[in-house]
Amino acid sequence: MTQEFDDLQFALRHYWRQYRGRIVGAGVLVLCVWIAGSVFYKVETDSQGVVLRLGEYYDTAPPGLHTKLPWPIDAVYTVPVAKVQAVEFGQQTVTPGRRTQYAPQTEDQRTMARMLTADLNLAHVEWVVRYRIKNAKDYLFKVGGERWTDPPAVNARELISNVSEAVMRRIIGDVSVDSVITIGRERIATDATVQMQQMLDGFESGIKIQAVKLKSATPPDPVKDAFDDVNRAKQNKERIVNDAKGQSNLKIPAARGGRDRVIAESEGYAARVVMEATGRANAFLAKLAEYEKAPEVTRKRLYIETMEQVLSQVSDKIVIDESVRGILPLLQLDAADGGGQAAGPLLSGRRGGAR
Amino acid sequence: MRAAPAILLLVVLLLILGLGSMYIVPEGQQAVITQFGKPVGDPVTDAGLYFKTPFIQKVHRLEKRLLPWDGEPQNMVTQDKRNIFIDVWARWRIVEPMKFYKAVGTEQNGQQRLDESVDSAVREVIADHKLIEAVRNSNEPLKYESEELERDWAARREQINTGRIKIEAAIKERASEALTETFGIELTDVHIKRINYVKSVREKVYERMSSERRRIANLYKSEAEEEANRILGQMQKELETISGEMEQKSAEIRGTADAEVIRITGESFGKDPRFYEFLRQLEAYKKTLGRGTRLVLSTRNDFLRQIHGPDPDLEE
Repeated sequence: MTQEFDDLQFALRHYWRQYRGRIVGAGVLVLCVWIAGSVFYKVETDSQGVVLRLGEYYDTAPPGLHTKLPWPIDAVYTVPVAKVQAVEFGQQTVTPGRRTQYAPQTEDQRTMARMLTADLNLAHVEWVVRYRIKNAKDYLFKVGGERWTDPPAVNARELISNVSEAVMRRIIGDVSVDSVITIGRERIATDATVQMQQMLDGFESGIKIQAVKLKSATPPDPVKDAFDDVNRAKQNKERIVNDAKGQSNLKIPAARGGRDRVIAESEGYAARVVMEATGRANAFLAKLAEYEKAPEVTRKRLYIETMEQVLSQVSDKIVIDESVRGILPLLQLDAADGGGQAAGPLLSGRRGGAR
Repeated sequence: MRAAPAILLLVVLLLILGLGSMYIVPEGQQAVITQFGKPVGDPVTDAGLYFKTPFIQKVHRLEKRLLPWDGEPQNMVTQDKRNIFIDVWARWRIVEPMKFYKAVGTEQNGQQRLDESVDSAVREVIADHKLIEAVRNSNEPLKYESEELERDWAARREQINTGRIKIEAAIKERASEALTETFGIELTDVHIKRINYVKSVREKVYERMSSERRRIANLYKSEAEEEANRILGQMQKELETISGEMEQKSAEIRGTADAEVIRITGESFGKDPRFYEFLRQLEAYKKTLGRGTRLVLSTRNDFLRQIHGPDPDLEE
């Protein structure tokens, strides 16, 4: 036994003497490399570096190149604090952009989107939550994953997912299905942002909700038709009522216009008729004045003037002496020209030839 | 120089011993020390550098952070006999690491303890309450697009006494009873993630929703008719009034004018009716005896008086 130990001692001493320089040199090199590797560290521009010294929190480093004490004394964990991430509920974006493409909805997503409203109806809500890390230290060391790992695992997505669903359902569970689908959508998104942040802050999660957006809030597929019917009926009602109002607005002014026109016409008639009568009356009164000055003479004069005119107008004159009675039957009493009819033995003309 | 390798060996041995007696507990972690498998001393809950007996004592690390728990959807029946699926999640913490280590051991086992406690707590609380208590959180009146539905709801008005948040608190309390005392676990939060109807009930709910909406659609249809008829009826009435006015007014005006004409002519012609008749007849002759008339005159006619010879009366 002693012999082997002596041999070992001898061998060791030999190797030490021979390679002392190289061993020391190699040792120094290894030490340098190790220090360099664990003394310098870089924090990316979108991150922060959380430094633990002997396990205790020591510092949060901004982006850039930094130094620290070598491991295991100092440990650094980088956290992407500027990066905005999104969690989608009820749908999944395949290609983001102006015309986002979504993957076809799976049964799971449909179940996630389906929720009870305050009137115990069902609605489909799809939403997206955008978040970023606001406190790197809290983010790493307050809320954990399944168990401790190094570097610490944080299941942020799961936490946000749970909080988001609980809050969204809580809010929607307190409003009517109409509020979800149309009237109250803005308010729901705002309330959700506030309440989710409250819950996450309660956990000291170090997460900040940037935005909650309702991508879609609709009645479930099987009842979509019935809901659309209501909208259609409502629009129809507006249309029908407007039509009726339009008709009324057209016809009533027209009728009023007609009435005013007819009344004006009557007034015109009245004026005309009264004026004509007044004219004739005045003409008569003038003639009467003249007549009263010399009635006999005037009467005879007027008579003769009239007959003068009449007999010159009448083209067909036959003067018969009364004693000549037999001629009458021989006269051609039918109208030969101008359509005039035969007169009786006295003056009586019919209107026939007055053209 | 003889002692050099021995010294080296000693240094290495000391180093190993030294490292074996130090340990770091980082932030977010806590630890329990065991000696020959049995836990000893106080648990380490603050971050930092600590010492122990090397090799003999071992460090068992436990989470100090908030741990997740997510339950499976459970099928259960509410107090008002509604058949639902309910899905609950929770967050928990190891507050008494020594107790936890002895009674539970690992975080994974802790999950199982929660499975038992929380699931049964949920079932008990839900069975004691109506569905609406687990869905709503306030008694604020619900708003609808159509007044009919608002009235419907106001008539039914189900008020809640407990509400969703209080139910979550009740579940947490009931589940905590076992967990804290026995296992050193603190249940910090319990929340309802999802409540849903079972499929058969869901279908019925869809039917109810559809028929409700259809009723509203029909209501709109009949309201439309009613309103349109009212407007057109009003219009008709107005048109008839206007027409009546028109007739009445024009008749009055014409009537008055005609009466005036009669008065004027009556007054004037009435001054000498016979003279008027005379003039009028002369006028009539002028108008009616025109070109086409054949006039058969007797020599006895007054106009032709001179035909028989000059008037013997003239000289008188």
